[in-house]
Amino acid sequence: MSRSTKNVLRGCVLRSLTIVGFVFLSGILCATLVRFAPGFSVDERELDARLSSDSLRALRSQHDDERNVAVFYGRYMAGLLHGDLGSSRLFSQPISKLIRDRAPTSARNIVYGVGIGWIFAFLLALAAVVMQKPETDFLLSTCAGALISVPTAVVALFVTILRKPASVAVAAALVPVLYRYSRNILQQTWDAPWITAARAKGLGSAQILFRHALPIAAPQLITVGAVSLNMAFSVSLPVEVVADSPGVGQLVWQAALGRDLPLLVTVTGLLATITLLANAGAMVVNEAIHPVEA
Amino acid sequence: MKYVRVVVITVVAAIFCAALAASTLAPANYATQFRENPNSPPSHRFLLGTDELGRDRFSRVLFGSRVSLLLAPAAAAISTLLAALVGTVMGYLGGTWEKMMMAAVDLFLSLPWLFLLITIRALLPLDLSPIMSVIVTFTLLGLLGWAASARVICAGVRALRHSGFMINARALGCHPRRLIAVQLLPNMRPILAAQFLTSIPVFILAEANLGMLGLGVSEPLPSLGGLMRELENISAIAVQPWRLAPLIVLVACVSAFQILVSGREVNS
Repeated sequence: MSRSTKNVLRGCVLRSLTIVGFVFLSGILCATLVRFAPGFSVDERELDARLSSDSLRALRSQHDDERNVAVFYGRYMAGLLHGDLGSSRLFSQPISKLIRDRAPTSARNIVYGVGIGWIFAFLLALAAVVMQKPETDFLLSTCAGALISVPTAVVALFVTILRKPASVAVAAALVPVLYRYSRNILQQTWDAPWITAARAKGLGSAQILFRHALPIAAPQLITVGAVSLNMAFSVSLPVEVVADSPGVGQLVWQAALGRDLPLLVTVTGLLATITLLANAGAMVVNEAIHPVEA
Repeated sequence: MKYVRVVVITVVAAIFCAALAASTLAPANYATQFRENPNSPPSHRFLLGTDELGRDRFSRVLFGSRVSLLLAPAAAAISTLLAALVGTVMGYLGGTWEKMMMAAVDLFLSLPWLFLLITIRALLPLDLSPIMSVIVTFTLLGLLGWAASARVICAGVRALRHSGFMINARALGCHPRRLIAVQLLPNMRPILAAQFLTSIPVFILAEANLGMLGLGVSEPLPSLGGLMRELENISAIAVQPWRLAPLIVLVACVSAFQILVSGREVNS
């Protein structure tokens, strides 16, 4: 086994351990928040005047063992391992079902949004860097700056007015940020001495770009690609609320208004785990394609 | 670039001054209702018209700007202080401590920010008084927005840790606490200032998003985010474009801050 393969494998193991540790810690945090949330172990059925005192006692005894913190943690973590994420107080449904129902909409919004956003941002960044015209660069940077200054919810509102899908709003909110990142990375590479040398030798722009600039910029661009997933999660929340798209973001907003803490912390923990997986994936890819730089 | 910066500083200063003098400049209180004039168009009496409850929109934009533009720097100060504390300790200690703390910072950064903010906001009572809701919103923003700055500050401290003056001070027996306070932090001032300035537009936008989602500052106290909830009535925007006034103020401020920050980066 070569040294670089060993490094990649070691990186994979280390990152997997980090993610497992994070999932365990976030599980404990979720359980703590749920256990100590206001209204824990209170059953609305206790308010029913028709119930006898025996029935009330029976209802209360159902939660007795959950009052023991250690037992509660144990059950919660065991449930997590079996895919049981608890149940939502607001919707009176299992959280896993709620997420399963809404995840496809969010996944569509995010995947299409990130895809469209990257295509536009990358093409604009390429144009700004390769053309090397100050006017183009100034115009694009000004537009990006102005778009970044508009709250995501307002961007989503205007996209809704134009009757475009929520994924377009996600893309519109991501394009200026991704443009700035990718333009800076590409410009840094374009200014490198070997690119100047290649230009001096008379190589064409396309050849310089695809053979000399992009391979060097790739690791940083892949890292930004992973980060853009986290950005897309945050952007999707106001977009789904404003565009009335029934995804996980809208679910979280409803949970926040209804103070449904178990649902909120579980979804946040899940999204953070997905982000960590994406970051770890980007790092492994970087280590595989550029063993020295990574 | 120099002229652009002058214009930008003038714009920011003008908006800040107007926000500060809101009590004097505003023709009415932000909560005063003119019930005989709901939804009225701009006039001499109501410069930006009135909202659905008959409240003077110009006054509300002035007071809303005050809330957003004065408290966003306060939140930025909290987050920069926290970042300075964590980043300095991380960078100064180095080695395993730095790696462990950096891993914690990375984990914190991988949490979707808006989701985390909404989760913690939901932990707090929803029936907070307007003033308390302002304090809670911006304190939360400050407490949750430190991680990215901490990484930058840590890198700055790491670079200074082995510089000549630090080695000299250490050789002279300077106590680590004094070393940090007297030698390290004053040299970190440009980085801290940049992080502070970078955080302000981020927090203004975060408050605007929270406000539009109904999780920001409570009514009747206005904030730029809360005022933009009027935009949700899409059909009214075309008929009453003056409803866009808070958005224009917000975009002007955030753009101005961004130009200032990028100008600083170019200069440094």
